[in-house]
Order: sequence, then C-alpha cells, then structure tokens
Amino acid sequence: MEVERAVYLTLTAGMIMSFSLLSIGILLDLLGVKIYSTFILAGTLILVLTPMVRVVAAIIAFSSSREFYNAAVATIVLFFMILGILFGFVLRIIPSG
Amino acid sequence: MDPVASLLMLLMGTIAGLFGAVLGVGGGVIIIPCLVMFFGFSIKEAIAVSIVSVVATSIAGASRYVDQRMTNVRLGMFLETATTAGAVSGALLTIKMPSSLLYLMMGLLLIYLSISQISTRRREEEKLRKDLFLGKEDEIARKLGLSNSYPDLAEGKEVKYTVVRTKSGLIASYLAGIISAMLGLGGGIIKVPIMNQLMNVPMKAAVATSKFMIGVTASTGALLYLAYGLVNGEAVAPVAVGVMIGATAGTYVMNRMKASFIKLTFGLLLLYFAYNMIMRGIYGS
Repeated sequence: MEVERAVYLTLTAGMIMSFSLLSIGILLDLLGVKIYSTFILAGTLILVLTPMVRVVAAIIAFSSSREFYNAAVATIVLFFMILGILFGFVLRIIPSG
Repeated sequence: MDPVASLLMLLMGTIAGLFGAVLGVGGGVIIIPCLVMFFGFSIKEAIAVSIVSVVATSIAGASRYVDQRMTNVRLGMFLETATTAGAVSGALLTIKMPSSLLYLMMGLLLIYLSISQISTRRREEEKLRKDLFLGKEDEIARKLGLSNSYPDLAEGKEVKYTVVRTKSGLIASYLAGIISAMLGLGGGIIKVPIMNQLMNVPMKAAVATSKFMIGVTASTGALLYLAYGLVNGEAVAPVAVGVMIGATAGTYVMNRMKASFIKLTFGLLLLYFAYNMIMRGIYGS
C-alpha cells in the first residue's frame, strides 16, 4: 500500500473512533449518566495514540514499498516518541507542544 | 457539566480548529486564553486540554489534507525526526527555568520571521504563477523523494516544488523542537516558516505538512498529561470534538484562499506571538 493511503486510513480511523466516543461521552454527561467518563477517557486515549499508530503504519507502508531510507526515518521518529514518553515517566517531566 | 458551558467550549474548539487548519498551527493560542479567561481554568489545566486538542486538530486536518494531496508525508516524517528529538532534549532542559533572555531572543526571531512572511507574499504568488518553486534538489531530498506537488485550487493548477536546504531545515527543526518544549510554544508557528522560507516549500503545502507534523510531538505530551490524570475530561471532550469539526471545515477553505493572504495572516500571528514572548521576557511568565 502506498504510504499516503496508509497514513490517511490510520488518521481517519482514529478520528472517527475518537470523535464518536467523545460525542457519546458528552451526551451521556449532559443526560447525567455516570459512565460518561469511561467513553471520554477511551476517546481521548485513542485520539492521543493515533499519531503514534500512523508512524507505525508509515514504517510498514515504506517497508512494503521498498523505500528503506524513509522506513528508517519513520523508525527514528517512533524511537524519539517512545523515548519522550519514557523520559516523561521516569523524570516526571511533560514535554509541551 | 453545564450544557451551556459544553456548547460554548464546542464552539470555541470549532473556531480554533478552523483557524488552525488554515494556518497549519495547533490553535492553543485561542484555546488556552479562552479556557483561562472565560471558564476559570488554571494555566496548567488549560495547557493539558489544549495539548490534547492539538492532537485532535492535527489528525482531523491532516487526514483531509493527505486525502487532498496537500501534505508532503515524506518531508513531514523527515522533519519529525528532528522535532521529536528536539522535544525530548528541550523537556530535559526545562528542569532549569527558561531565562528571560530566551524569551526575548525568541521574540526577536519571531519578528524577523513575521516581516519575512509578510514581505514575501507577492513573491510567493509570482513563484506559483511562473513555476519558480522548481529547482535543483539536494542529495538528501533526492534519496528520500522529498520533492512533491500539490493541486492549488486558487491558482487552478498543479504546483510542483523542489525541496532544498534539507540539512539546514533539519537543524532548524531540532532547535525549534527544543525551544518549543522549553517555552511551551505551539508546534506549527516555527514549522511553517522553516518549510516555506528555508526549504522552498509553497505556503499551502507547508501549512498542510505542518498540520500533519504537530500531532506527533503533541501526542507524547498529551499522553503524559493523561497518564498523570491532569486532563479534565468534561472539558476536553467538547473542545476536541469542536476542534475536529472546525479543522475539517478549515481544510476545505484553505486551498481556495490566495497564498498571499495566508502568508499575511500567518505573519500577523507571528507578530502576536513575538509580542507575547517579549512581554514574558520583560515581565516574567
């Protein structure tokens, strides 16, 4: 699969899933149903994990189309993302924007 | 939560999303002050909501821009290596408080970038008309296939462009990543000028590619805020939903605008950021 398609599908799937869960969460909150926070948490979690999933999708797509330099580039991005999260947890620091 | 407050947050998110999609920025510049001023959030709570909504604006905007062939995925991934590395380095440096000098220097850099964006807006139109974005690409750009094209709806043609100065672009992105993490500055504000002014990427492709990139750095931050339980769920849901609606709508508007108008608006936004940075440098944050 070409990389643009793989990235597009990942981003769109992530967006539709998080959008739906968050919207249900808002409605349940307005209706006073207690479990609303579970939906919001799940929607937020899917939302913030989507960019990482799209990097993984790009690595797979680049590899399968034999663009090995670009696959390496995407792997470096994934490495620094994971490193950022690990540093954050170990040192309790939060990188901003 | 109060239904009126939810609706207002959704509306604010929509405006921030629309604005962010047209300029390739996260929209924190709208979300953070609004949450603090109108909804009584502390700065820290507002930043946590804002960083999640930056991810939302990025994936909503980017999914449309990738589909419209506006985004340069390879260039985006290439520069992300530097912005993510910069974000990690910057986060380690923030243990020491940033000095007022850093704010002042950033303010001056932003003034320079603003003037340069505004003054090159006519030149951009000329380059689009005469196909002057084509040139000789460097070794890295050739190996990675970074040069690309996009369909410009305002010009009514396919604009081809060659990516140049990849090494300088990479170094600048690394420094931008560090500074962003240290000063809490959003992602897009420096990424767009780096691509547009340094690497010869047309404004609209730079905006779309920046939109694509900002989600990656924001997501690691957002995940940490979420893990520490700092994200207010009742606020984040309407803001993120609004931002996704606004960003999706914005992607249909941006390509129909004149590149010179986008550059002018972007230049003014840079000026606002410059003012903010200088004030913080002088009076403390």
